[in-house]
Amino acid sequence: MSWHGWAGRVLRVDLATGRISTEELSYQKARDFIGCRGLNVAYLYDEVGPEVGPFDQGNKLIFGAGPLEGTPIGMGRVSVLTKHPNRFLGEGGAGGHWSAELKFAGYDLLIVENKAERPVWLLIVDDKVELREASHLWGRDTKEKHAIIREETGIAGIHVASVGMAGENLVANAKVQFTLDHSGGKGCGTIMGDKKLAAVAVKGSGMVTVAHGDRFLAAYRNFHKTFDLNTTRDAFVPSWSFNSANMLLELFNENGWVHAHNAQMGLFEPMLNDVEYMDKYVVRPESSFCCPLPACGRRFEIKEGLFAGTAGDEREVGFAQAAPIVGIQSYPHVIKFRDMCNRAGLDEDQAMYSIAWAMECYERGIINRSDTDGMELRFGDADAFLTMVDKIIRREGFGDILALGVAEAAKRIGKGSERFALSIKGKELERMPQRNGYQMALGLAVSEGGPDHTRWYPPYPPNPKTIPADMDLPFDPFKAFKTRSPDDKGRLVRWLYDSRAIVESLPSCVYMIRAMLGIDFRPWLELFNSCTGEDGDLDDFIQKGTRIVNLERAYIVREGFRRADDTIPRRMLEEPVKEHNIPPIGDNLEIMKDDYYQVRGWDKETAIPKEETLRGLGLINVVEDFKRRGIWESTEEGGHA
Amino acid sequence: MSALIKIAVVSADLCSGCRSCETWCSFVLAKGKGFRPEESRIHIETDPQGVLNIPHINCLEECQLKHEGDPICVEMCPTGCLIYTDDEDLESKRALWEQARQDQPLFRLIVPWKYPYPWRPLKRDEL
Repeated sequence: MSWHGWAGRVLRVDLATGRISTEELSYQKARDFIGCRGLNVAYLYDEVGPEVGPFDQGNKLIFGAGPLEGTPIGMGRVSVLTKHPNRFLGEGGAGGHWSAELKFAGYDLLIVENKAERPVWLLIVDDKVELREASHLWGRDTKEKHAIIREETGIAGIHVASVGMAGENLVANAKVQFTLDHSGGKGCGTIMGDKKLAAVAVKGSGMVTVAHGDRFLAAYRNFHKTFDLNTTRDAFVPSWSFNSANMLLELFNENGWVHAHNAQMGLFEPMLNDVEYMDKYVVRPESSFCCPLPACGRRFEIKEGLFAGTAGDEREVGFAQAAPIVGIQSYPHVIKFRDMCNRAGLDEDQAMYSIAWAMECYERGIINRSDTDGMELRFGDADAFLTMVDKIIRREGFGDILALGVAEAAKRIGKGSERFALSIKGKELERMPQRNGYQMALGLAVSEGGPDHTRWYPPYPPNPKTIPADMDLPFDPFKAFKTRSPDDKGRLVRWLYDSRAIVESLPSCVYMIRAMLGIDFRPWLELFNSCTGEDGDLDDFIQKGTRIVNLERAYIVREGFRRADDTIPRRMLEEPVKEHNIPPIGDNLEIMKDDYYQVRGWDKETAIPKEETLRGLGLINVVEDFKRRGIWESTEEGGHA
Repeated sequence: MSALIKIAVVSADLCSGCRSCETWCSFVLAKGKGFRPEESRIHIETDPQGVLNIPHINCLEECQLKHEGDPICVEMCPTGCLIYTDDEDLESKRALWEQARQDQPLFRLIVPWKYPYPWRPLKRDEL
């Protein structure tokens, strides 16, 4: 058939045999699941069942571009998917240019199968695809890997996805690192390291075709208006562009959103204000493929003093959120931390929350110097923090325990330390407040991929008064956007999940969900239809998102996850944010979960999608699969949390 | 001074490397059939460590790909790094930007004439 938007081809690489093949993309899958995140899970569901363990030969690693990737809507977004070491969906998106190059090379999906015996790397230049020996890359950091590959191929514009030492050493939740400090896919780096795939380098020169060029251009110009600083009605457009994450820290402090000292406190004094920060560290804009925000990404450099010469990309991780969790007041240390994580492919959340957990345990006397290789481990000790980060990457001493992830580390240490391990489904938390944003608590709890705020982004709802009265919404914004109340959160979170699944499957960047672009999906539909030549209506479009989320849920249900796994850390359920007089969530979480499963058409007791729900979405293969496996009759209660 | 109007770069320091210019130029060249940056008349060269992006412009004559007003590469440039003007104006814009970024660090990231500062103030209840 003739494809627009989609390239129409899937590239498969078998690392065990070295066999490389291409096949036609299934149109039915593309129509039902769009692309990128959605298509990835459609393929993973069919090809990696519960009998395959995460570290088995049979686990696969899928890199997905989508139909709008390669157009300016795609923004270089890639979704990487595998069966996470904890058996849920190890999924993550990243920006940059890699995914756009994969599309220009002519592929929608790259599926990596089996394991190599010795390290290899994959080169994709249009139709020329080859596996190369990678002993010279193994053990190098991700930036070195990129530089070596660029030198070796002589291709200046080549983009590289690679694992760093964290992935090579099988540190839990290691991420895949893309060119220019973009990273994603917590756990995907671990599986990539296990498969001994050092890197995937891509350069494409083909065309991503558009069905109706004039309509697409008009739809893009309309979309683009939201990001014009002169006219925008969304406060986060200038914020993302200039005010830096430091501004976010001010907002977080004001609202008690900070997770200071392992979320024991809701306040953390920032060291620099925005203008000082900009003046001292930011040198120029740095952007993903066709991002319309002027400077959402910024290059920073430490020009003098401690860690001088360290440079990279700055976003929220460093300033607003990493520093408070472990209590660091030194910006150079935070910038260095970010750089270490990017070079090693180490998940920042794992590093922060596992070290913060260790600091809390140390201060409470649960662990002592005999556990920590003789180190004092107290909140605010920036040097000790970086030393421990390095130990995690190298799996040395106490770092080898933290490398297992905070939940597993707490199990090993015991002595009540589990209480201070902030994780969901065994994966470290993200820096997302919960006790004062109930939609966030529910969103984190019910995620099929462990804590991941991009699945329901943005966490701060718009003012209901700014929503046009004639907008037909599946929730009541005046109730749903009241953040410290369980009212109408089921319908709200369902909408957020389904609509964001669409954006991540087109794909586009969830940061584009600004102003009405998170509420009104007609602009997205017109971009999709004009690009691909499809002609579905809005209901059909939204249903694709619902279908994707249901398939993701079906995947983790098949792996044994149940209602009990959809929870949040005890600290959020039982402890208040004292500085802001914010009470713990308590029973409200279970009330919201009842509500959510009901509006989803999932069984309330088990969180398993009902047969009629799956049938209504056309997921007949899942119905048959569930029947064959006796999933609806099983009495499994989960217990992965 | 030549009065010839052309696409020009204010400063490589303002280029974010987003490749919007490449991508949209190729779209207009292909008469809206699709995106193929390889064929574009403008290319962004980025060094592997991301230290600098250098736009290379290969338009031989006045841009024939204008929609209304600016050529599409200039229209879609998010920072204002690309402009469509004559040499004299280019020099004065460069001087203006040099001064602006000394005065206000956020003009390291954008040009002041594209996004005059301060922007429309946003009220708290618009959040």
